[in-house]
Amino acid sequence: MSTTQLKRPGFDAGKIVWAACILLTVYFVLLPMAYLVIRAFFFDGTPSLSLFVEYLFADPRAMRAGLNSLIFGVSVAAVSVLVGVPLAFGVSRTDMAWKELVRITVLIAIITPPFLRTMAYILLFGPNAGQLNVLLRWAFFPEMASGPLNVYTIPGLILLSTPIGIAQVFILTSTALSQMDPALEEAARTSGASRARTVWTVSLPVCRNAIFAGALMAFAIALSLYGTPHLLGIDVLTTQIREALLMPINFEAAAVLSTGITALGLMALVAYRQVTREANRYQTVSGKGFRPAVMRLGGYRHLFTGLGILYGLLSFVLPYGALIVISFFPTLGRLPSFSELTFSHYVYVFTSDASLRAIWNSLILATATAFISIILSTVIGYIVVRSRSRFRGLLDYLAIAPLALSGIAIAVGLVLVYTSQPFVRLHLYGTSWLLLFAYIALQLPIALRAIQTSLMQIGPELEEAARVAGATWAGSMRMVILPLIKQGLSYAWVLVFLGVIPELSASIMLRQLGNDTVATMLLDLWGGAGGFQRASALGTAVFLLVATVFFVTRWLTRRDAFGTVKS
Amino acid sequence: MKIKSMLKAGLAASALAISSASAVSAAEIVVYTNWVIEETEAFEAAFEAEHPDIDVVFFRAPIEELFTTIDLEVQTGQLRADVIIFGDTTRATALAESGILGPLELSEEAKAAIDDSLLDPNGIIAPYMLQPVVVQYNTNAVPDDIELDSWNDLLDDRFKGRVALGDPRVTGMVHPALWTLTSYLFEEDGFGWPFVEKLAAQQPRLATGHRGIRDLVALGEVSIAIQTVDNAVESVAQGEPTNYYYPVEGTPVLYQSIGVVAGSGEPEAARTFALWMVGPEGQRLVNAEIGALPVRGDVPIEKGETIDEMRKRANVVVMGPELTQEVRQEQAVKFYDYR
Repeated sequence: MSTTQLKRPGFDAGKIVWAACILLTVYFVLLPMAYLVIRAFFFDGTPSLSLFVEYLFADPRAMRAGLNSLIFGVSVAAVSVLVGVPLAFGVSRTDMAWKELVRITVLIAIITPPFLRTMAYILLFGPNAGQLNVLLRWAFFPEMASGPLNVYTIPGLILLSTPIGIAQVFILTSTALSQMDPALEEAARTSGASRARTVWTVSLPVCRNAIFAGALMAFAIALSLYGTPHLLGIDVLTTQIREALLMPINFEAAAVLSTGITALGLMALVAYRQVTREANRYQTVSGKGFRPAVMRLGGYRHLFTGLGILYGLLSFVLPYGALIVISFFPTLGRLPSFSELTFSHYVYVFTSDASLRAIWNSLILATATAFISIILSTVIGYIVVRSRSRFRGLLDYLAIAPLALSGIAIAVGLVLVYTSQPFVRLHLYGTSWLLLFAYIALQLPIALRAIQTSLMQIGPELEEAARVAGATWAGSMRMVILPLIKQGLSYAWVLVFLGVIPELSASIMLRQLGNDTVATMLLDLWGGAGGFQRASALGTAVFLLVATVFFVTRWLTRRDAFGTVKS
Repeated sequence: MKIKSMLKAGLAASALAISSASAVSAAEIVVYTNWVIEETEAFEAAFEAEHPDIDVVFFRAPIEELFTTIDLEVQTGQLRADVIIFGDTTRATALAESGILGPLELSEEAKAAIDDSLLDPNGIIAPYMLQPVVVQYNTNAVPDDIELDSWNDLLDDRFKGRVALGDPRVTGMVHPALWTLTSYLFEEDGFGWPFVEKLAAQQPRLATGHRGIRDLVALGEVSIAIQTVDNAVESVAQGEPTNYYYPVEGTPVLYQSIGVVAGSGEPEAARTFALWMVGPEGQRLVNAEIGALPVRGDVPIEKGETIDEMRKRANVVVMGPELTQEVRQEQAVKFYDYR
């Protein structure tokens, strides 16, 4: 990595901008985390582990939830690798059919809130009346009264949460596969290795860091999910944290559990940073351009095509199909005739004050979060990539730390901050500001990753020339850097915007009077305030909105790699 | 000349806008409730039609979440509610005792129409709704020839894995049923916590809201469920394949209350809304829109059955102060121990 030694002018407003952005990052990320840790590790004003003993180690339900979270996270990571790697290999390196379909399905998996998929799968694979279970019983298991599949189980939870993990593994692995030097494979083939042996002994080992990084991301995302385990009624750490903040409120238990889940996530993050550093993930800037050969697999290509179709069917066609169908039903429990199908649930979604307010809130918050995150990420990214500050490594870690955080843990931290002295005096608890703060903290690493990638692809010469010509830091940013990373900025903006719309974990903890979002409203509609049909209609409408923004931007910016969406 | 005309027109338009804005300016009150969105919308429309000078804004959330919000807002000195519609009476009483609620004197006419046992002797809170807790079932899953009338029907082997109830950690309205089963009915008659243990063995589905339970029953995903009467009544009215019954051993009926926040910025408007809820139109809507029972004896009901009619088929247990926060918490913890 090359860095630019900056001139030291007498006064540069840029330094003030740097300081402001660093302080804001500390404020958004470190402050809530610090409150969590202090609340968890201090008892009666003295450092102690007694709260951990009481609310975690000595509480069988909390321990079971922790174990479930671990099993859940590890399993999601494993299944994501088992499916994501062959898919990535098939799309990047083979002559399998319908590659674009797989790519689009992966992108849809990223922008689909996992709890929306869960709602659909409850309708399809509920053990007693799930429509596909009914079909399976009719066709193959007439003697069975329920099942054969049951979505309300830990395997159900794992499978419903894997599409987003598969997408992470797919993106990182396919990037690595398409960037690898074909000479390595050619050498193996020349030495007499079979095609399969070449893949097994050369191609995949070259990508192992990318695969491992994808698995770690899948683990961290699974750990932070709230909506899916909540809907399935399975105890994991996130659901336990939420419960601790329901009446009677137990801040200590919430802080202990949040700290526990954060520690697990941070371990994954540190490992992730280690392997991505080793993998030299920004190797495109090295200037080497590879185009590895496409392998002709003959009949075996149908295996990859079949896997791609299965993934598309399970992660996209079935769930959205179910939601769309149910959204036109007037009532539940019987199949309506065609003439009975109704648009009334969509009319409600687009005319009711409550849903319009939720949609408006989400759009405003997503827009504000995107702008603020982009500004912070641009400056932080610049400091990390270009400056020689001793603290840049620390700052980088701080800004990407929220990748390891569950939205629910951030929310607990924010509640602690703004209901305690001295911040309670700001009177921010119960306002939309807390939602905004949570979203900024959660989305900062997403924006930072995208912007850092753009910054690293720009040579230092142009900026140096501007500085030599007398431009200040702000001037060189405005005239040189920002125009060059314009595409990266717009791409990061969209990633953040799309990440905020379906965010549930923090939103459900922080929503108050008048600041419901589409995600909290969806959960309310599903759980008791309007019914499955309205929830399906709102879910379909939100998906169409998000997908439109996503694909229009993708077309405009023509980017292929995408970040993460937590829910 | 032209600029002058434009300025004049602009000033005139501004003056008109300001005067019309002040003409329609209404007192805004915030009402906290656990009702579902469509119910809040119906009440808002009906009240504002009668009182165009008062603008009602609802904040709705499941009961436990609602009281978490209230608790945190009280802690931080930022309680934004003007009126609180309580899912039960004990929490209303607790807030009244802590001075958070102000007086809400009912008219003599209203007092005369309400059973004395439901009235608050301190005149701070007022009852507004009776909510029976029933057992709802899917008529396709339970053939007509099976007669259902008891809590014990929930333990039928045929319903294993097909029973639902509200999650006691999240939903307040499952607690009257748990209290009836464990504290009101006797262990020697097969109830008490041993009954809950058997219920847990049925592997019940726990839901976060009773509207969601209604959908699960209608779909047939669960065959039978502990349900609030409003959802059971609405489900039948909508033509869903469901029905319900009052458990003969003891059908809990929880009376729910309303109160005005002492520090409300719009005390008169808040009191007007609360009294309207206990008036004939509010009480009519309690039945017509929510499907629950009015507390006033002089308001005819359109949906469901009156308490007297229920008593012909079941032992009706009208509950108020029994469900304290401690009882609720204990029930939730014990339930999960058995689960």
